Amino acid sequence: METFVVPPRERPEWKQLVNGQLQYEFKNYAFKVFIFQLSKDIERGKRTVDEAADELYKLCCKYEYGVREDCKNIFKN
Amino acid sequence: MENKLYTKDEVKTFILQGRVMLLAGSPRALEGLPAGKWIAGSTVYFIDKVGLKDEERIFVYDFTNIAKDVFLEVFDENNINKIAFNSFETGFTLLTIPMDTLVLENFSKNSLSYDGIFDYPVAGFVAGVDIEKIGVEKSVVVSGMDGKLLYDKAAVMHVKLSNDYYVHSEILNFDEIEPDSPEIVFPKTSYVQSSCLIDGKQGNIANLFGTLPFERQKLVQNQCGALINRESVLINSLKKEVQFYAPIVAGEKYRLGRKRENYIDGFNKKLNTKNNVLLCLSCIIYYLHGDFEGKKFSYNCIITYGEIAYQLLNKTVVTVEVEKI
Repeated sequence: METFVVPPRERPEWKQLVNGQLQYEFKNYAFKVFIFQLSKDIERGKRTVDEAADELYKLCCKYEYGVREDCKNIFKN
Repeated sequence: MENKLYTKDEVKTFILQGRVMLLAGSPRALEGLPAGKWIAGSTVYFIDKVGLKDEERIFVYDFTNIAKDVFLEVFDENNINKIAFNSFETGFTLLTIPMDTLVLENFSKNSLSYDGIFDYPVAGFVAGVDIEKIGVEKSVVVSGMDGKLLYDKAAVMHVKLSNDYYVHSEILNFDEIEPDSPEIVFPKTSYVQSSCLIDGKQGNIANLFGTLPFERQKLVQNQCGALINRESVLINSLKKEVQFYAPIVAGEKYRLGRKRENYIDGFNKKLNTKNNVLLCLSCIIYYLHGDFEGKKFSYNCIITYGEIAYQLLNKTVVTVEVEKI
């Protein structure tokens, strides 16, 4: 199986996923709800976009195996 | 070991053998079980090849073959927010919570804000009783820490897996958003709602539901692709209030829902596409409205009074699934 690495945090797509600029539906239920919660946190001022993107990146790194297809679709290059 | 109904004596043997299990049965069936690596919640409705009601036997979900370790805890409404603190780095957390309790209220309103709640799969169910005994008999949960019946606490079991497993919790919803639905927003977080904004204009949810047939008196929320049901329990036309099975959150967008497919067909077809389902829980609303009793199914599971997958859900099927990496 090819080696998969979660794209680096510097990629703009991480922030775009949490601020709604990039609409993408993760395959995994937990990630759908997690992004929903992060976007609400941003709206309420509980997190900044950067902080929310950091959290999403961390969770994707933890569940690398489960998000590899999603990441291939999101980070096209 | 097959996930299905067993006699109480069989379950006692399993416990003494050190099996790691999630159990479900009537309060009477769950009483007096020995301590061990298990938690339980009450229900009398099951699918064991057919939909049925059973007050004597206990349904067993067995995780012994993959569990490397377990850790049991009990929480109340003051510390349930710490549910994820002792989760294993690789594994999942199960919980059972009695219906109509403060601990359930806290969880239902706040779980998505709990520290670490998304770090590990958190799944479980709300314990209940025979619907004819609601208000007479109390629902219970039990922790294998001591086997005592708990009426107002949550029983939690953290299960450790080896690093070569990917474990995740998923949901199935056989309803969908009504395409022509207005957007509905409520001003307060509560199980009981009345005034709301309907496409930006002041309105009342009881009045809106009153214009709809019974099967469409429901709300659905789209959480970035996850369709979350909010089924109504009761419409009080005098007070112009609707009571829901789970809280409606202030400021969030909801829409009217409708049935997408036959519940029995959906249940059988969708679950047959899944491999390695460790755990499957189905809402009692599907059991009752879908007329599950006596019908044949290809999947065994327990019928619950609320399902949990990081948050309180209703009218949903929750699964916990594993894959070898």
